[in-house]
Formats: sequence, C-alpha cells, structure tokens
Amino acid sequence: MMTGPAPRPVTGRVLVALFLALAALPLAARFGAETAILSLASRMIILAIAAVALDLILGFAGLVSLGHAAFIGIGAYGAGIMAKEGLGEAAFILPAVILIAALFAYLTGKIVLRTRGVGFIMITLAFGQMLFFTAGSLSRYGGDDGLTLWSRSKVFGTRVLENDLVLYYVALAALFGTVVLVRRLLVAPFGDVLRAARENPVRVETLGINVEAARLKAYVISGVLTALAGFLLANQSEFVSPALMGWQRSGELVMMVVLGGMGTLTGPIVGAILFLLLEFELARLTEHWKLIFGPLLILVVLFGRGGLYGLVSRLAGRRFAGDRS
Amino acid sequence: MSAPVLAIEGLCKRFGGLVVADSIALGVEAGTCHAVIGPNGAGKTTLVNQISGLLAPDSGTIRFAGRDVTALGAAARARLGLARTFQISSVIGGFTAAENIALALRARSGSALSPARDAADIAARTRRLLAEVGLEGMGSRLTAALSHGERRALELAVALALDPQLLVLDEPLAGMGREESRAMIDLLTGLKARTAMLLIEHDMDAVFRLADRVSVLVSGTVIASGPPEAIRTDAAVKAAYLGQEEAS
Repeated sequence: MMTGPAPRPVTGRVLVALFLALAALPLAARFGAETAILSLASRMIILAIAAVALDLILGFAGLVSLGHAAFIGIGAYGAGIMAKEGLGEAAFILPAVILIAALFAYLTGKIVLRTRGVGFIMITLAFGQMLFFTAGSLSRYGGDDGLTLWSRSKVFGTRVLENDLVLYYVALAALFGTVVLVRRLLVAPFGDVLRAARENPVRVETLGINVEAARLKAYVISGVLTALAGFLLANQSEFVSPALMGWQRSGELVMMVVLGGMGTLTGPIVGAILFLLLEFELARLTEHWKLIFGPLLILVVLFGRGGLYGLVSRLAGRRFAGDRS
Repeated sequence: MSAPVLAIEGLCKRFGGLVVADSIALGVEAGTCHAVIGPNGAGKTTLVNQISGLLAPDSGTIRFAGRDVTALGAAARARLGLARTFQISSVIGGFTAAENIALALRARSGSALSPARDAADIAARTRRLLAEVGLEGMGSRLTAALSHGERRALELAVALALDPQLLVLDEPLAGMGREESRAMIDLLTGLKARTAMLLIEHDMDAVFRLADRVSVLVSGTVIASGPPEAIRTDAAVKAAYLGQEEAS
C-alpha cells in the first residue's frame, strides 16, 4: 500500500553518484588550476544548498519567491558584521544567523503567505529589496561598496576554514545535510500536505489541515537553510555586499531551480552547478554571456518540462511524473 | 428528538446587490438526511460554502455539534467533524487514491504535519475505506486516471476518513450515469446510520429516497421545509420549482 511517496532508487542513485563525484573533485583538481577549480566548485555547492532550499517552497509548495537572496544576505552579513566586530566565531555566528533568518522568514512569511501568484512574487521581491537597501545604508559595514572579511569565521577558536579544501568539504557536508533534511520532510506527511496544497489548497483546508501553517513552516526552514548558504558564501568569497541580496540574485536562484528541474532534489543541485559552469565558461567567451544564457534557459523551459534533469530522465526512458527525489 | 448536529439561524449573505442568502434557518438532526433543493442560482452552493467555512456570512449564526462555529475557518470546522464533498469532484489529481485518503486520515488524527509513524494503521484504514465505497484494490491508482464515478466515490471515502458528524454533499450525483447514481444512492443510504447528512441534489429520485426532511431554496430564501411527502404536494414548491422540473 502506497500512502507516502514510493522510494525512487533511480534518482537516489543519481544523487549518490553526484555526491561521490563532488567528494572526489578536489583530487581531480590537483591536476589543474587547483585554487580556481576549488573556488568555483565551492560556490557551486554553496549555491546548490540555496537552490535545494528554494525548491522546497518553489517546486514542492508552488510558491515563487523573488526575494530569497535576502536570506543569503542575512547569512553573509551575519558572518561579515560579526567578523568586523571581532566576533568572527562560527559558534556565535551560526546560532545568530539561524535565529535572525527564522525570525525574518516567520514575520515576512506571515504576510507573504496571505497572497498568491503575482502578489506573492511582488511581496517577496519587496521584502528582498527592503533588506538590499538596508544593507546598502550600513555605512559602518561598507554601505553599497560592501565589506571585506579580513579573516574567515573561526570554528571553536581554530582557523580551519582558512583552508580552501576544508571549506569545500564543510560546504559539501552542509549540502548533504540539507538534502537529507529536505528529503525527510518531503517523504513525511508534511511533504504530502505541501504538494496537495499546491494542487488544491481549498480541498486540503476542508480536510482540517492548516495550509498556511504548513507553508509557513516550509518557508522558515527554507529561509534558514538559505541563510546557512549565505554564511558559507561570505566565508568562501571573503567579501559581502548588498549585491548578494539584490532581486537579480533571487532571480538567479529561481533560474537554477528551473534549469535543473523544479520539484526534485537532484534538479536544483544540477541547476546550480550548470548555472555557475555556464556563467564561468560563457563569460570567458564574451562579457555579454547572458545573451547566450537567456535563450538557453528559454529552450530548457520550453522543451525540457521538469528542467534538464526531467529532460534527461525522460530521454533515459524513465517516468518523470510524480518524481520526488 | 436529539439535539441538532447543525443549526443555522438568520443566515444572510449578499454579493453586491445580489442576495444569495436571505435569513436562512435550517437544521440537521443526528442520524438524518436533510436535503436542500432548488433551481440553479438559488444559492445552494453558497450555502454549502458558508456551512463549511469557505465563505463568511454577512450575518447569522451557524452552530455545529453544539457550538457556535460562525467565526471558525474551514480547517477548524473540518477538525470538529464537518466534512464536505464538492460539486466538481475535488481530490488531489497528482496523488494516488490511497494517498488522498491517507491525507484526510492524518488530518483527522492531527498528524498531518508530523513524521509518519502510523503508516501501517493508516494503510489498513485506507483499505477499509476504499472497500467501503467500492474502490477495493484501486489504492495505488493515480487519481487523475480514475473515472468520474470513481473520483466521486473516492471523494466520499476522503470525507468519511474525517469520521464526520455531518457530511455535506454538494450534488454527489452530478454527471453520473444511471448505474453509478444507483450505486451512490445505495452507498449513501447505508451511511445514514453513521453520520448526519446535508444533501444538495437535483436528482429528485435520490432526494425522495434519501431525505428525511427537505427544504426548498429559491433566490436565497427557504420557501418550504418539511417531510418529503409534504414537500412533494406543496403548492408553492410546485409552482416555484417542481413544476418546472416536470415541465422540462
């Protein structure tokens, strides 16, 4: 009897293969431009965390947020501001970042979740921009120019994060944790409620389920996970600026999810990796790389229903409908 | 007679200049089926939406199971045991039949948002409910692939999963063939001992077979209410409604 989503060994294998490849990447990087590759790969993984988190509300709950970069900003500025104030210790920063992100998600979620469709997009955008301009006005922390982190966050007094390889594996572990957590949520009844409410909120409500409470919970979890990505991003680039949380960045996160495949866990990871790879490769060809990237994204949306991951799954003759991992 | 499961008093609702509920008073006794009939546009679905909490009345009170639920939302009313079906079958198309029922069972037990620890129990109860509405062995079918009649039956099973004190049925026979209708009427007859019903239906055979009491709604007003035999012979009802039916 199927009362929850059936296990999908196929996608499970794809995910495991993906993680193994990512874990082995630093070894391969030794034969190339190690620092550059490791830096790019770290960014891919960190943004994949944000993309998976965004997919929880975008793909599974059907809520299109154009303000999710605000959470990246909260995490990144958390690291930046605390470093500047001489409190650059992860044991302090992380709880603070989680608390602030959860609070911001809860308070704004209470408002945005009352709206639907375009209204939701616009209000998340507005809250995102609000934070963007707030960050720009923090003259003590660099204002519009941003803030350089003179050192990465300490971990219980040690400077292990200064090592790029350590940072890379910390990010990979965080991505793994994110995937495990989100997957657990989705195979639980909670995931069924989100998916059902995406299709027919009135029906779910008349079953006695508080749809808004379920969505708010997803929104807060998504926000906190995205803020963790922001914390890692600040440490990786050793620089934070308001640009991190502009609406363009929120749009890019949506693009990653759509490019890779909404409503799956593998899709957003693939999307984040491909997005940064394309950005990196195309930007070497021309500074107008978005002229190539834009049409490419349109093609994927038009012909690859379910994103690239969906396209590949279908080409491989697998049933994509109802895929949940 | 026992206390009414549902008691509506002075219910008013208007959309702009259109009055869709004009001081409606209505009650459903435990263990009975109360049918509401009336021509299209009489305000039947609006009434159902107000009872289930999807629409707030302008004035009036709705009491359910002895408490005033007028201010409660749809989810809270459902948790008290007020279940409904929709005029257009409302089940989750992307879910299997069993997943639809499991969703309702978990909502009822309050575990809808917590990790699944009750899978075996839910599965057993789901099988029982499927068998009860004639969908035995169809639990793993995707709802979108079910026939119209099967979706109707599933929607009934979903409502029953809420272990309702009152079942509000908005045209359960709409779009059904003769055979399917007969099966559904038999099914509903069997359920009367378990839950009170408020039935909105156009099919007069079904209404007179199932209902213990019939109210006639015309332009937002209850113009007659009484036992089926009385309604059948009521002159005002004939003029306003049944006459049209027979003529057509």
